[in-house]
Amino acid sequence: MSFSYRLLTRAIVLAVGLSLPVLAETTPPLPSSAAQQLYASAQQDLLQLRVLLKNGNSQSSVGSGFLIGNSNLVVTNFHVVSQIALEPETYFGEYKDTSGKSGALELLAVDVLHDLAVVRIARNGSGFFKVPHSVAGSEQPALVKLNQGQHLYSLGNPLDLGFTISEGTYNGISARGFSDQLMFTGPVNAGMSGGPNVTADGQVAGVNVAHRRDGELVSFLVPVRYVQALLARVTADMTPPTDFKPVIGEQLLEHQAVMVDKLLEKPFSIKDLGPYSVPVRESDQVRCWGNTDSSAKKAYTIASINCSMESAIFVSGEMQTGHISMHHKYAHNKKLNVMQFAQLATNMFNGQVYSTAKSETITPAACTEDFIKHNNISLRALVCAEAYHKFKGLYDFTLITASTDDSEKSLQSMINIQGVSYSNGMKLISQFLQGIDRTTKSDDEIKPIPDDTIKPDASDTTTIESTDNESNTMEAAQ
Amino acid sequence: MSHSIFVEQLTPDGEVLHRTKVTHLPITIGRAYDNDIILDDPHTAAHHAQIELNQLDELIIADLGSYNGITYANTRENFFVVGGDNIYRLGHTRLRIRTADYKVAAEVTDLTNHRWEGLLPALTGLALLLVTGLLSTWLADLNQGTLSKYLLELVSVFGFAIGWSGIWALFGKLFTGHARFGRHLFIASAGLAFLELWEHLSGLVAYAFSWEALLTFSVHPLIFICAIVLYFHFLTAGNKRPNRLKIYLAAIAILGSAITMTKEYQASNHLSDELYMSRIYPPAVRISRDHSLEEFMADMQSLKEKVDDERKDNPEKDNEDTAKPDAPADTPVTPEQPQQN
Repeated sequence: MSFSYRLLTRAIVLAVGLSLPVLAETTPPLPSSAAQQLYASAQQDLLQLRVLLKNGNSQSSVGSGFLIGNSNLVVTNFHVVSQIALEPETYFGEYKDTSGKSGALELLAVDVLHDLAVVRIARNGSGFFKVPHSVAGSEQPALVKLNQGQHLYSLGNPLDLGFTISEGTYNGISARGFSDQLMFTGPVNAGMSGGPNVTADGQVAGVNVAHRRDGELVSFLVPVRYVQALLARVTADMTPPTDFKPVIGEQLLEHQAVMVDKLLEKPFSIKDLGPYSVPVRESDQVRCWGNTDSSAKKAYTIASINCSMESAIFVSGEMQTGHISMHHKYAHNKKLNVMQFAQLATNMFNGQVYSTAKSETITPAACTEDFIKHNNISLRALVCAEAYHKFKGLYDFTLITASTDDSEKSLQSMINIQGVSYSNGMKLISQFLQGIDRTTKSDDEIKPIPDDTIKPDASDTTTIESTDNESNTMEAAQ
Repeated sequence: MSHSIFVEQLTPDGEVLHRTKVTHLPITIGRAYDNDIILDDPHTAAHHAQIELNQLDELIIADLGSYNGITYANTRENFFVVGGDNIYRLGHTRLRIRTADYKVAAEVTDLTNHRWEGLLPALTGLALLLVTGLLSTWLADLNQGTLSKYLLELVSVFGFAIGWSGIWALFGKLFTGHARFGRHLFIASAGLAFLELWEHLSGLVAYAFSWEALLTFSVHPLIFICAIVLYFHFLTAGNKRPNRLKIYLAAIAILGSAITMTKEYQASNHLSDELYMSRIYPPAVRISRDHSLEEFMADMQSLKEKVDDERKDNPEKDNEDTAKPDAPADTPVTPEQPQQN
């Protein structure tokens, strides 16, 4: 199989007569020459997309994209062109193809949730990248079936260095987000996002979108079925909306409804922290990590449970939304005086919430605080709300609480909610508060934190692959 | 006229420059050398004024037809009946006229030499600092630190108080000739101790009664305390007009508070310098009542209007303009998700 491909590739490459034959002639056979063949036939429809500042023409973000079939439509990531969608008065887009030709692009449609966008350029594709789709609403044609371990090839322009193809394997679906992403074990670097990912026989499997900074070659693709769904809503001659903000706002609102429904499908699960019980949500989308600090030298112990959603919706460099995290900290006094322990509780409670009037995305926080008593517990609680300047009906919330019923123990909880409607925020916060309780057990019966929650605190940062700016590029490159 | 009359020339601050005793009447005043009182003021006439008795046997000061005349309390008259506390202006010259039977004020306590000066207040101040310093270091010492930590903390506080008082003492020495270091050290130490106590006390009270404002506006009482400390420093360093000083310091304190609030408002849209009350104390301290979860959620609901008002873009307009033609086309695919999962 691989042998015949090599022959075929050489034949094609020689026929095309580009610079590649030199490489093909002089290098020993590669592990997979399918890549050579794919690149040769795909390169005509492969594009680099740049977002530039209108004022000064300087480059602000770079990504990749690909022409669909014989049309003039290009699929890319939303995060590559987000600046054009949000600030069309400041930014404009441009494409560059593998032969160095460039031209203007026009944003047609976005799908913020799956990080997809369609742009139109003044050139037609050669028909290599096919995403079969019919009109929206009707049955969509079947797409490529992937098997774990199958070879996939990502194309794009990493770090603005030049067009590349990289090989990897398909490794199933990641359910950590609220919409599926394909796991691709292969390099996807900054600048490749928006580029196509294809099977060995050239069928589009997905769109490069992200990789995990804390892993090696752990990359993610947007499944092609979302591309299909987006394309079904776009026609080559449609007029794009003049302002994408309401469109994005509506998509975010729909997403938060799904997200909150899914989170509140079942009541929060309750975990014990000392004599207290606290609400957490552990699911595919929300991961929890526990931690205890109980060295004998210390005059107190602190145990914590942190739960956080691993995905967030990228809207712009300054704004990621659709994210929820919960934190519980339980401090237990061993040797401190009660006033000293109160100082410890103060230190833990202090500086957790900020308000800024300088943000372009959210309003300053409006807060309310009180002593509340419910279940078997009394709490000091503070809740702050912030609205989004650009998206109506979306809010961020932060709730922090500290138990006030024990001079030797302190339970402090926090829930951070980004990008939900006001009523959903109220719902989440009310349920979270209801989950905080004190069990009637006496101190001796209290079991330590279950072992399964004690894990190293991993920093789960999924890097989105656009070369948004120099620093980002460097970070990703390392 | 059996009594002697004293004519005093005063500085603008009210201190006596010259005192002349005259035993006869009338007394002539002016620039010319044939006067009883000779003035060196170009704004007075050669024969400017005369002190004499009128028909009612009252002592008066009368104008002798000068150009600038005699004024008292900003009014010019041809003559004034003399009062022992009045200051008359002749040109740029200030005159006070007293007779020998003038009743002087009672003896004033000597503040500079006998009471609460020197070693005693200095040591008391340092003792206050020691107690509050140890208390706050101990309260904050959550990791059961070593003795050296306490010592270091104390040395830095003592160093600051001594350095600060030293500057004031130098200032006082320059202007009044009295350093009064011990007293300055007491004022500085008491101020620092009071700041420390206030921090704990205000926290306790705020927590007990759920008076968040006491902690969220914490900077302003501190500014006020600093103003009071400065007042006593200035007084000790020889300020003679405590009332005027009070007004100045109050104005500076208000200005300081206003600047802080403006800065906070620009940074966070809140006038307070803290967003919330972050102090936690033992349950025994609590006095205010508990609220129910429902009340809390109702308070939360009322925040909505507030944050909505602060939004910069008004999206209503945008929605009407553009959403209509494209809204159906741009419906996201989220509803399909459950099946696909």
